[in-house]
Amino acid sequence: MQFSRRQGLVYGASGLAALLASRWFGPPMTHAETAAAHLKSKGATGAHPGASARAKACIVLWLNGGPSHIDTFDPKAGVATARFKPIKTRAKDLSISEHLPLLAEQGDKVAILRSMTSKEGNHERARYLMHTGYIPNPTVHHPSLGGWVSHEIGEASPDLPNFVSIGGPSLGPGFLGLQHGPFIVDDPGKKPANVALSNVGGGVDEARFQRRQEALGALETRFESDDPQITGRHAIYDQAIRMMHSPKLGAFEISQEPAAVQKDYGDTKFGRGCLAARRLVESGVKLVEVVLDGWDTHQDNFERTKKLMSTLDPAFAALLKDLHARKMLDSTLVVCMGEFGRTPHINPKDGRDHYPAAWSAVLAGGGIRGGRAYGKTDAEGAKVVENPETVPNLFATLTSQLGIDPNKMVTSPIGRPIGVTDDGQPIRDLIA
Amino acid sequence: MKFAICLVSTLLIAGGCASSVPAPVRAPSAPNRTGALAAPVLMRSAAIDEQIRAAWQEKNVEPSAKVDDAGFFRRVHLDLTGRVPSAAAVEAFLADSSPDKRAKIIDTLLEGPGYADHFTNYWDRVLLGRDVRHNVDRTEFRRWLRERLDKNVAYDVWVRDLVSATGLNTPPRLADGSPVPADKTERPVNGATNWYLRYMDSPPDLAGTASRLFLGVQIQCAQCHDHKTEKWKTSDFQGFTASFMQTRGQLFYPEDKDKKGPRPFDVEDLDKPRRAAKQMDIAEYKTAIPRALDGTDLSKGGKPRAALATWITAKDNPWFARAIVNRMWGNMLGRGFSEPIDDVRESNPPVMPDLLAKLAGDFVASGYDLRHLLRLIANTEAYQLAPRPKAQRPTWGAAVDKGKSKRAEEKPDSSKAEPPHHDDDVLWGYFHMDRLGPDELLDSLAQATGFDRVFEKGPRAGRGDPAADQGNVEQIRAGLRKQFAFLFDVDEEADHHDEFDGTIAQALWMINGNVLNRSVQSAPGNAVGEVMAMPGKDDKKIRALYMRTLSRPPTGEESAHWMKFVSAHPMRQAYEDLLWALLNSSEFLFNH
Repeated sequence: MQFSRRQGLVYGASGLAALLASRWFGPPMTHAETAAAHLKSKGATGAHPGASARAKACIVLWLNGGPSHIDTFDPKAGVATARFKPIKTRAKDLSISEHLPLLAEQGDKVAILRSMTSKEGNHERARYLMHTGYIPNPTVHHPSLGGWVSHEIGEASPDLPNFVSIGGPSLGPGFLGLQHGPFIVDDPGKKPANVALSNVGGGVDEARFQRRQEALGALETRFESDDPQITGRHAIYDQAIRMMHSPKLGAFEISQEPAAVQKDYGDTKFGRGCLAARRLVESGVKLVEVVLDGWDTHQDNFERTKKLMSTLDPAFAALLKDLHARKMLDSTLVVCMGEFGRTPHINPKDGRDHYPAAWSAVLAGGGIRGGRAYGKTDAEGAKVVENPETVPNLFATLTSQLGIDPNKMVTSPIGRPIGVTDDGQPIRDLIA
Repeated sequence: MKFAICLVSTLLIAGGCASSVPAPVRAPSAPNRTGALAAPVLMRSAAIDEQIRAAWQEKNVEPSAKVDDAGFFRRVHLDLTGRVPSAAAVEAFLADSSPDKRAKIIDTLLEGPGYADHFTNYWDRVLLGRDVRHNVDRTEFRRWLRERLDKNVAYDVWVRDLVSATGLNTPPRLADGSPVPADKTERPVNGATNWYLRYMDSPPDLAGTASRLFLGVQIQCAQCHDHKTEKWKTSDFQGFTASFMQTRGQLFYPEDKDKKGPRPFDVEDLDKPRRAAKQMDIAEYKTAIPRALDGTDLSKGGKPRAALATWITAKDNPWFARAIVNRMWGNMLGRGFSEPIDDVRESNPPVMPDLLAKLAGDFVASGYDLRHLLRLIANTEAYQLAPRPKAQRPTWGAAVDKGKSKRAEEKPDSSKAEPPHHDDDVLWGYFHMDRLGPDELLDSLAQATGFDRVFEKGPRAGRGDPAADQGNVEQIRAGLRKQFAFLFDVDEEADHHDEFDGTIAQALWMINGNVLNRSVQSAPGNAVGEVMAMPGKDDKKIRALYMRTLSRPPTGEESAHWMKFVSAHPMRQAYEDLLWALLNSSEFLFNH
C-alpha cells in the first residue's frame, strides 16, 4: 500500500483516502495496468515497442474558434485576400505572419503542418474531432488526448492531476473513466479554488478535516456499491484530497516566477496560462491544455486576428524559449491548433468563415524536427497541394512521440474495440 | 421518401397513433384535469408492468426487490421536483399506512409547484445548454418555459410555439432599466425566441438540435457526409436546415447602446433566405429547398420554419411522440428504450419496441400530456425497484475499527466483479442510480441545510456583498447556478452517463468550498442550528440530520455509531462534521 504509506506521512493514515483508496487503487500500478481490470487491452500494453517516446509531457495551445491559417501560420504573398505579410523566421525558408515577430525568432524550433484537412466545419463537431482524433459518434464517448495521456503514461496516484485544462472545458475522458478527465483551472496563474482548508466559522483544521473524512469513510463503507459511478467518485475525491495536501500545489502559482519571465509571457490570461503550463509540466503534469478563445472571426477578421496574435505571439515564443533554456523542450511536446482554418474568401463583414478543407497545426519539441513547414496549400490557401494529412495522422504523431502506440486497441466497457487513434499513422517526416 | 423504416412501421401498427385517435385534448390540465381526460381510454401502469414482466421472464431476468418507502419517496421527489423531500414530509409518508400512498404522492408532486420548477430547469439546460450568447435572455426563456409547464400546456403545442417563435426575446427597457409593460411594446415579447437566438449564427446546429431533441434523429451526422449506415444523406440535412434560413434575429433598437439591462432582439420570418454573411457553411443551406425528414416540401406557405414546426408536431409524425416518451422514460428509469435517449435508428433499435410504440400512441391520445406520461412511468413496477443489489454488504463499522486497511485489502476487488447481466441492465431489472445534476444538487442542498435562508440574513449580509445584502435568494441561486454549471456540468448535452462525470473541482467544492462549509456551519435557521436547538437526546438529533439529508431514519447500528461520535467531540463541531459527511456521501449525491 504505497499510496497509504505516503499519505500517512503527509496527513496521517486515517483520512478518506486511506479508508477507501486501498480498495480502489490496489497495489501501486500504472493506470494502464489498473485499467486492464475493466478494459481488456489487445496488443501492446503501455509504451509501444520501438516507440521513440521522446516526450514525457504535452502542452496543447488551443486556439478556440478556428484560427485563419492564411493570417497566421500559412501566410500568402501577392494575393489580394491575404492582407498580412509573411516574415522570415530564424529558420531558413520558413515564414509566418508579420504579426508573430517573437515566434519568428523561435522559428528553428517549430514545425508547421500546413496540409491539415478534415470535413468537420461545425465548431462542436470539430472541437470533438480535434480533442479526440475521432469524428463524433453518439454511441461512443471517445477519450480526449489528455484522457489517453493520463491513462497510458500518467501516474496512478499523482499529487497533481495528470491532465489540466487552463481556461476551457477541454473534453472529457470518455470511457476511460473520470479520473482521467481534465482538472479545469479558470483563473490561470493562481492556486485553484477550494484547495486551502476552509476558514469558514472559525476554520477547519487538519485534525478536524481528518475527522470529517473518517465520518465520510464510515458512510461510504455502508453504501458500498460496485456501480462504476461510485468507484469513480471515490477516485476523484481521493485525488482532490491528495491535491489539497500536495507540496506541488505551488506549480499553479506564477507569482513565484521572476517578474521578467512573467513579462515575457505577456500579462494576459493566456500568457499566465502558458507560464503555469510550463510550471505544471515541470511538476509532473502530463498534459496541459491552454485555451485562447476568440478566433471565430466571421466579422472583422483582420483586426481581431491581429489582436489575438499579439497575445499568442509572446506567450508561445516565451514558452518555447523557456522550455529550451530549461532543457525541457526535447521532452515536452507542444502543439498549437484550433478546430479548422478559415476561408480564403473574405465575406462582406470583412470576416472569414469556417474552412476545414485546408489549415495548419504547429508542433514543437518532444522530438519534432523544427524549423520547417510540412505540406503545402495553393497560392490562396484554399487547397492542400502537397502531403495532405488527416486528423488521425496528426494524433498518431502526437501519441507516438509520447510513447503511446497509436494503433493500440482497447475494449470499451460496452465491448467495442477502440483504437488510441482512428487508424492514424505517425507523420515520419515531422520526427527528428 | 415515406415513413418507411422498419421501426416506424412497427410503431404505426402497434401503437395505432396515427389516424385512429380522436382529436387530442388541447389543454390537458384544465382545473379538474382528471375529468377532462374522459374521451380516450388511456394506458395504465399495470399494463406496462405486464409487458415488462413478460420480457423479464423471456430473458430470465431476476428483478431487484421493490424499493422501500423511504427510498421511493426520495427518488420520486428527485425525479419529479428535482430536490430531496423535507424531513417532515418523509416522516408523514412513513407514518401513512394507506395502501395507495405511492400513487397519491405521485399525483401530489405532479400538481405542485416543484414539478414546474424542476422541469423548467431541465428544459432550460437541455435547450440552451451551459453557455449562452450575450444576446440570450435566459430569465425570459425560463419564464416562458415555466408558464407552459405550470399550466401543463400540451407538449406538441409548446414545441410548435418554440420552433416557430417570433417576437422580442426580452422586453425593451425604460431609461431606468425597468421593462416596458407588455401591452406597451411595439412588438410582442416572446421568451421562446431565445432558443433561436442561442443558435442564430449556426442554423445547422439549430437544425441538428431540433431533430435530435424533438425527433430522436441524429440528422446532424449527415452534415458533412452521407451517413455510413443510415439512410440520411447530406441533402436531407441541408433541406431540414434550410427551414431555418428564412428567419432573422436582429437588435430591435440598434441605436440604444447606453440603456441598462438586456437589449431586445427581434426574431422574424422573412420572405426569402436571410442575407447573412456569405458563410461557407451556410451558403449551401440557402439554396436547398426546405424539406422535412420525410421529404415533405416546406417552402409552399412561405414560412418554412412554421411549416417545419407544424410537421414536427403533427399527429402522424411517428418520431415526435416516440422521442419524448423515450426521453422521459430514460430520465426516470436511468435508461431509455434506446440509448442514447436521443438516437433512435435502425442500427440502434430500442428494446421492447412494441411497448415504446404503445406508450407513444398513448401519449398522443392523452393530448400530449407530459404529466400523464410521468404519472404512468412513476407508477410502474420497474420504476419502483431497488438499485442493483451489492455483491456483499460489509458489516457496519468495519472500516472504522482498527486494522481497517488490512480488512479493506481482504475485500474482493470491486473492479473485477462480473459485469452485470446485460438483460437486467437494458430491461430495467433494477433501478439505475445516477448522480444528481447541478440543479438537483443545489436545490437538495438548500432543502437539506437551509443554506439559502442563512445567506439571506446570515453571515454574509451587511459585509459588502451586494447579492447577500439584497437578500435576494433567487439571485444568489442564479449566481451559484452559474458557478455550478461550470463545476458540475462537464457535458450538458449528454443526459445521463455511464461514468459519474464529477470533476476534481467539483469534489473540492463539496469537500472544502465556502458554500458547503457555510451550509454545515451552525446558524439559527439552518440544519445544524435547528437540530442543536431540538429538545431530546443525541439519537433524536442524529435522526433529524439523516431525515433531512438521506430522507430515511438511521439504522440502529448507525445511530449507535454516531452517538459515540458525537459524545467524543465538541458537540457543535460533531454535528457539523456529521452533516458535512452526510452531504458528501454517495447516498446523498446520487439518485438511487
